[in-house]
Amino acid sequence: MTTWKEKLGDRVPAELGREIDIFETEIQLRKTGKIDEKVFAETRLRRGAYGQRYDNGQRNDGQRTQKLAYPSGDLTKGPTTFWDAPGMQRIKIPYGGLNPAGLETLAELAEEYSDGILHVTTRQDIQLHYVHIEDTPSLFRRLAAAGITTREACGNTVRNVTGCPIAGVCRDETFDVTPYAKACSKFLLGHKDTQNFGRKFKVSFSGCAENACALAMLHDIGYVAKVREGKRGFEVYVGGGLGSVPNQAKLFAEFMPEEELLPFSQAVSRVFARLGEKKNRNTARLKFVVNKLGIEEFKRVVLEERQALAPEPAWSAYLKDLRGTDETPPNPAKAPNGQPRPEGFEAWTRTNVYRQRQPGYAAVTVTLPLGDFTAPQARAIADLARKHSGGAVRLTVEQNILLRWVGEADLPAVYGELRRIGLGEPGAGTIVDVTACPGTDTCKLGISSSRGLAGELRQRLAGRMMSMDEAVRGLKIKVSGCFNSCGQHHLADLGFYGVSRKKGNYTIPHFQVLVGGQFENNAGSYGLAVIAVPSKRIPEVVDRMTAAYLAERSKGETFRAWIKRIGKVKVRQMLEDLAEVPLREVDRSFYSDWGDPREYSVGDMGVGECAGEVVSPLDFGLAAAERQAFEAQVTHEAGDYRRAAEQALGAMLLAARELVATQFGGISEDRPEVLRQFKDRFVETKLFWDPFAGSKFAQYLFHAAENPLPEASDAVHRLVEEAQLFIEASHSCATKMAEAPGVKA
Amino acid sequence: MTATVSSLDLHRIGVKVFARDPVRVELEKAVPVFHRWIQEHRVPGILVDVADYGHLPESPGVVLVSHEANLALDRSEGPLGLLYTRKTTLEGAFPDRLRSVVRAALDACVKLEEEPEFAGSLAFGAGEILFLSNDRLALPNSEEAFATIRPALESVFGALYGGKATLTRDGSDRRRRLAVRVTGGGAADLRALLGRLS
Repeated sequence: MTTWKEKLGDRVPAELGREIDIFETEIQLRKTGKIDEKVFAETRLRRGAYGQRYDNGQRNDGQRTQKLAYPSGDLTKGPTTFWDAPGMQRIKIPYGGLNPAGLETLAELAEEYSDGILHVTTRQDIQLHYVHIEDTPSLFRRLAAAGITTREACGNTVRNVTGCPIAGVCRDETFDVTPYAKACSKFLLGHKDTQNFGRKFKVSFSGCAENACALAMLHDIGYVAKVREGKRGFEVYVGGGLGSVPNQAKLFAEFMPEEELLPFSQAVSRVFARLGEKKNRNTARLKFVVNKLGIEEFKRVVLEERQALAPEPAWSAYLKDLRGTDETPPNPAKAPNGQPRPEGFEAWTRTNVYRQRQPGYAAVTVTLPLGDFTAPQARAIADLARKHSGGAVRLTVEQNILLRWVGEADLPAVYGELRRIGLGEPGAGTIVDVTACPGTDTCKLGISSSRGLAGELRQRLAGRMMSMDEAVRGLKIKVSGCFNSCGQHHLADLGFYGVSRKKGNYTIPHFQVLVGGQFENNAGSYGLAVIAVPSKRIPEVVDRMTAAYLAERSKGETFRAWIKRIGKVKVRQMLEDLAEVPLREVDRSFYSDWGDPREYSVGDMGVGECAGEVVSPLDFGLAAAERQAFEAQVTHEAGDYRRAAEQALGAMLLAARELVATQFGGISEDRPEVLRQFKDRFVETKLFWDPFAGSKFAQYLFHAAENPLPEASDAVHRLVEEAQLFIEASHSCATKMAEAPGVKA
Repeated sequence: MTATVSSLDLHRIGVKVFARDPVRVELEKAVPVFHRWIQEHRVPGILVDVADYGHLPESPGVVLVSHEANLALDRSEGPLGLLYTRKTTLEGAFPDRLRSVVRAALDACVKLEEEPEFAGSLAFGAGEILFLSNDRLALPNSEEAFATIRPALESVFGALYGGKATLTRDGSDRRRRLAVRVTGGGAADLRALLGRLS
């Protein structure tokens, strides 16, 4: 029997081939118990082989939890991750750059090892789902033969280096960042100084400061192209990140010459490896190092590290061939010449066609619903790329595909072909083009159905997109299934992240509504949560907010400016009635999520006739804590940072006290006593415990209570975010207690 | 060189049965049906999840994902139909494996037709089946590979259709999986076909 290894032979680059051989051996060793499951888990993560929902061997089917009795029995590929359980394969596509051959290979792999679907992520990766671990070596080899590696796509590594998808054709860019992004990705991949991180590390390249394409401010290192005195270089930001508590990157250097790019990246990597937290993953990102040291001390340490580095040839080798990533248009630029235009072409052109800085050429955005496309569509896009864009394809952080160098005269033909394959929808970058992470569809951490909600919003909004006011049409909606921000909800005009709430004995899917985020200016500001609304009422939130904006805006006022002017209190008041959940007997639809008919629950529950009417004292207590956290937001907005910090801490203390009181009876209001009881009874016992984040949320409370409260705006902003997350964790804890036999809620 | 049928290591076999009137079928109705199938173990295997790709027009549609196979109300390989794609290895020689996959596909078709959500709207035609090789290593999309597998397909589908199977390979795009359209004369229905496989 021939294997892919034999068939591909030396088409697999030797170094990648060796790595894949080693991984194949590790699979065999794990199967015979000769590698610890934790070691194997990190090994596979570093090759992009991720876990997926239900890989713990059980699934709630809406009525009960069923065991998934896989044939390999108790064999695992990581802690509580069963060997045979399907997993997610993440495939790094540096700066989103793909060629037709790569697309065709990905299509083959999606068909043979996944479910026929390719998914574009918010970090310009491709993900395949439902992949068996034993198929991964063949999958890796076939990718390697197409020049693609999955190495370091997950795990505590340098993740996919992202970049502006319109780099090189952009009308506003300072210069094309493509060769720099490519060189940085190649240099850091597998580098000895990037192998000992406590957590992931993300780098991005933007061609300009104003437009958002590469979102520099939310990266561990964000490079923004800059020219000073005729010399190329970068404005450099460090310590940004989304995650549960977002952090705006801080300016490291106003200008760093291009030859310093790689040594600086290496120096930061070494500092991160040396000073970054290793044991507690919740405080292990670079942002914690930067915040702990302060930006000035961080600069000193990094520059000292830089001076000590031994020069490497790779630092400057690529600079000799900066034109090496240039693309060649396949066809000469030609004006449209009045040729017939298919129906819908004009509308599509308005939103999906970007006029390149090179006259006569355009970049075409192929709008992918929910970031998905099929294997046949991938092949058709490969054909289009060969014929019309010289093979130049980029994936975007808004989960679309970009075809560059399309001659303007060819646009009707490209549009016609996209329509033929079902990808000719207009609306790229508009309110219809909703971004969403996988959420409860496939992610182990998902709380609510982000894709279900995104699909619903997309469908509802698409029908009226053409009649919308332009200011509404241009809004951005982003959805995450949980607080971890993979859907980048903090950057949206309207952001949503999944949470749950109890009503009687039932758990109901909700989304927190965030407003005030900014995608422009390289993710210039982050939104804050205003109120949690049941999933099924989020479309009403969108309708109500956009209608109010249109009615109340002053001339030229943006949505974000309008939110700022009216204030979050008014926004909350506007939505408060939508937070109500009808009794299950009245409307059962609220008790399941979008696109999922199962009753939303994490366990089996006995239900009394009047169960839906019960509101426990804990529900009231947590609602009060939530109000206080919201007040902290408002106070922060008003500029009273000291008081906002006190309110945020007070909200956490109140939630903690309510949990203790409900579970174990009376408790004083004495702060040390509340903290002690909470620690002993909830943290030590792991009742207040997230299966993935551990005691992270409890630590927010302890840290705030045991240290001087912050006074700077951004630090208080973070504390307010932490308070909200602590309350979400309290809700989860209450749900867990209610659903665990013998535990009183 | 492609293997001979006797040594053919093809397990990732796909079989699609087409709906008689695809326009009448509301794809989204498959979502609650497949979730119920998981609850009630209506089809064999370790049933893992339901994936809904109804938002993509020519896609796998709605997929019931199991450890052993993907079972989809599919629109990616021709008009809407039920596509059963085996993932794990099967016992026996290739013809036995193929029969096993055809049986699983037909069995799922019969069950789907019986679901109340599809009453009066979903009926599968028994006169045409699409065979797919979902393993380009074991059986690529080429004339040579088709010639290799043709006798086995003629034998299995001939028996299924009472000796009247006609095979047509779609060779329009070599990048696609090997796909062979099998048509059988006569008016046999799904249950009759199933009977011939037991």
